[in-house]
Amino acid sequence: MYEHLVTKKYLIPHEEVSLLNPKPVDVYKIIKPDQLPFISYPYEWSFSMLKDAALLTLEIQKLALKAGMWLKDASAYNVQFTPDAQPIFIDTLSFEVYDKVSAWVGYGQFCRHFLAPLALMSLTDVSMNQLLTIHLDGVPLPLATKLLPFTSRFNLGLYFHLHLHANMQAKSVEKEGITAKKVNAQTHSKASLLKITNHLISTIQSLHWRPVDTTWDAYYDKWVGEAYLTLKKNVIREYLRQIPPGKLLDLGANDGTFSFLAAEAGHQVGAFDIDPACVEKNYLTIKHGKQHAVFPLLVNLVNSAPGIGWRNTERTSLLQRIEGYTTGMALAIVHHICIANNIPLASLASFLADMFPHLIIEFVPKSDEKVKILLEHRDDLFEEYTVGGFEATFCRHFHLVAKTALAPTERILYLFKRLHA
Amino acid sequence: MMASILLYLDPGSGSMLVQALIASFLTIGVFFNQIKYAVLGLFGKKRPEEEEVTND
Repeated sequence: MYEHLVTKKYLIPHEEVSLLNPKPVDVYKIIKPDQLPFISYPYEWSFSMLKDAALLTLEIQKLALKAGMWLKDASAYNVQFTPDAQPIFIDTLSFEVYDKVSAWVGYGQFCRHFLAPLALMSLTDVSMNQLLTIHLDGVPLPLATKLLPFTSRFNLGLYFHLHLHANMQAKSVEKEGITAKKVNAQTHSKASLLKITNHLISTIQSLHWRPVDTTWDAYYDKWVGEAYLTLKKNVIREYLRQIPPGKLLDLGANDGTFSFLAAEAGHQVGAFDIDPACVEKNYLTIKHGKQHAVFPLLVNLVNSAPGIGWRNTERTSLLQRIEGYTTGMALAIVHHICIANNIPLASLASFLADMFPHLIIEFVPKSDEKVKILLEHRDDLFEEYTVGGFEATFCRHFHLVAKTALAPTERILYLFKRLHA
Repeated sequence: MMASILLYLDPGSGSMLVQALIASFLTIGVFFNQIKYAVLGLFGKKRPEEEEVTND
């Protein structure tokens, strides 16, 4: 079973570690799984990432059932993504040999962690995966059914696994004694558990989300000229040649054009973006093998995932998880951070200097059409936001390696190296 | 008093019970499917291959 799952790349491989001496009485074995370079959470995944994680969990449950085991839980946090954006199951201790075939104990959790958020993302709003940041053990079913459109009842899978399920939960709370007896009396055959698992698979497969036009979708086609894009690509290729390959974060990756360039140059790339449509498209592009593999993630840089759970440490904050990245790429986002979100340039410079020894950054001046739009209906309070101000601020932390004007626009690309290692 | 007791009940039993209902419905579904394919079979249509589902 283990070999089968590892060969199929469904489960993270592990090795047994020698036991401590003397052996503690309550320890059976110690296993050390292979370490993933980056941990991400479902509220940072796009629709298809969560969907693929759900399908992987069910596929594993099916294989386990056929081998006389099952998953004793079905948490979305049991799935992670490899650096090339493949979902992988990481909780080796979820597998349990069942002696008495009862209903699946992980079923309720599966519906809260996967089915409810996916249905909400598909039918209500794609931002609904953010509910997982406030509901640590998945979206409560009564909440999900309240938020879903009435028509969701006409999808048999959603009717059974969400609506009826939520009703049964409410009833079982009302009639506790009767329910407990009924549950104890129930037996399920392996065939019926497989049927339910297959039905969950087809329900999940029936859910779709098609990104509609957003501001960022097709940004390069709609908003920027061909000459600018070609020049920018060439300059970035040149800059990337001057940086030793390592771990690179593209902050504001959009359609991944520049993330893929970095991956091509041998970097292990994280492609962050605030737009669910961009993250979704990047994930699907990588999944279908159309580009070099990068790791797409839904991130709002000015409000990234906080630490949540007990003592805010059960799920750590995004910034705590970003470690060991050697290069940052911040292309055409300085104006969004500093002007649209009022973050002082000095604060942005020190943040980037804390994170990255190497930095490729694009400055978008006030004369740029995009910045004009941002400043249209507000006072210009950003005196230091000039080419001179930008360079002076960043040179407090970085050594300026290269600088290229991106004609015909007035935007400028910079390659910086941090002053202190 | 009642409300505070309710807080201690586990909604998990609802998740266990609903599976029995769904399983029986799906079994009925299989039964009708068998009839459907039997009828289609008369017209020479073949049933798509199904996964092997075995009981202990």
